[in-house]
Amino acid sequence: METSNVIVSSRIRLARNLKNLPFTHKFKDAKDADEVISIAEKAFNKINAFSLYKMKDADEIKRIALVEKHLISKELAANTVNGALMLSADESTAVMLNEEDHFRIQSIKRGFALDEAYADAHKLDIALASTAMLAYSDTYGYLTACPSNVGTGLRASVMLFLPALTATNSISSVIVAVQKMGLTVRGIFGEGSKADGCMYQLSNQISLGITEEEILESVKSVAKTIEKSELEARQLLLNRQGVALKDKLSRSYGILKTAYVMSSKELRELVTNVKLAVSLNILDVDEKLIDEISTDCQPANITLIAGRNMNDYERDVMRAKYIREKLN
Amino acid sequence: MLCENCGKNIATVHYEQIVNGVRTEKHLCAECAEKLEMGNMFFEPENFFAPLFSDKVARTARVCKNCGCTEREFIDTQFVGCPECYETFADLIEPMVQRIHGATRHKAAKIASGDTRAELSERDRLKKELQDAVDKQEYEKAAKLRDRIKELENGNK
Ligand SMILES: [Zn+2]
Ligand SMILES: [Zn+2]
Repeated sequence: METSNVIVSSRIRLARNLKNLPFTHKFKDAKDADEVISIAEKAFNKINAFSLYKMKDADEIKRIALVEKHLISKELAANTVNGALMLSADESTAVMLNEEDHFRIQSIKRGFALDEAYADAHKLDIALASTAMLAYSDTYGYLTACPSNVGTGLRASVMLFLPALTATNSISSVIVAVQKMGLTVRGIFGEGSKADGCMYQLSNQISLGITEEEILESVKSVAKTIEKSELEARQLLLNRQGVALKDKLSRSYGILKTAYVMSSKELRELVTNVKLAVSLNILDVDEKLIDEISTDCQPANITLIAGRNMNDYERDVMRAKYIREKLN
Repeated sequence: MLCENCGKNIATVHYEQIVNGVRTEKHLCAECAEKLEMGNMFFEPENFFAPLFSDKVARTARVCKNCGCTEREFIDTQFVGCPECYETFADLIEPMVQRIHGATRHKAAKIASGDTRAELSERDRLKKELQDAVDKQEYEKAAKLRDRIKELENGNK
């Protein structure tokens, strides 16, 4: 299979709860939250070596940095009472504890690898089910704090890089088509469908009345369909704009390599252009390095790298310096 | 808080009764309180509570016995409080699940090896908890568990 940079990453999330405890928002005292954490440690450390981070012990920058890397939700980051994270060393497995549900098992893989991500999450699920009684009913399957997640408790998603569909204003028709399949698409940065980094998340909305396999298959096939139309739109863009497009995209790389002040928003735009240029064979740049830079340069992550608090301007200077060093 | 009898007016009259060591609170609007008292039911707990168990009333005032989640809380937040809420509010959850998922029966795979989900029935689990509570001399908890097991054995969940 031809690889493209359209499907950036694949992610599986399983929502699970203990049978004998109320859901997180109804905990009676700290003992309930501690029970979730101790069961998680007992179950998951059988599979992999995890580090445990309690939100109450992590300072705000560290918590936001985890949100920026899509390892935890904003809600978990804000739960400094009993929220916790179990994270594998390679950051490909992240279990949120005492989020909306007691356990939110997440497995994240680079590229198009939903089946592999599911296999990893499933291992943790088995370990959990053999360690504790889970909330499960014959009618609804896995029970969750919100009935919108019952059934499999599974959310399968892929992160999609769609600069050409965005540029040709085709995203809204993609969203409509996808909704008809019981899936949803949303922009990763910015609100709703307005994604300034051209990054979108495609995921299943329905988790009950459908098997795990069917969920994976539908997300996979729709992702491949969107990938195909994105690649077509890229060619169209190149055919239509030719040299003008090459010029614009190549200049972006020049700015990225040489600038002394760089905001996150500008970085996202430049990264979008560079990644598009790489896929159209306009630039020969290590795309993995570009992806690393865009992760590391988000506000909280770059602050952690700098090791000190900065105002906005100092941060933009620091960001540009970091990028120059990485690219030159 | 709304009146537990009519579910329409604000409850302004609050009763508290202790029957066989079980404390029960009732919150009624002035109108309903007057009606019930006029019928001289107040001093006969059985009769007094009888209208509150009528279908309509039970629906507006339901509270999950396990976690304290109220019907209103569930309707407002779309969050239930515990796994048992799925039974307490079953009639509300089913249409909601149908609306979201377009189905009401799951097809999730069963996990085969070492799965503990289905091994213990609710009653077995409570019995185990009861033994634990007795061992730890948590008698208040034990009494509650014993009542719950009796309830289950009598078939009225
Ligand atoms: Zn009333
Ligand atoms: Zn409940």
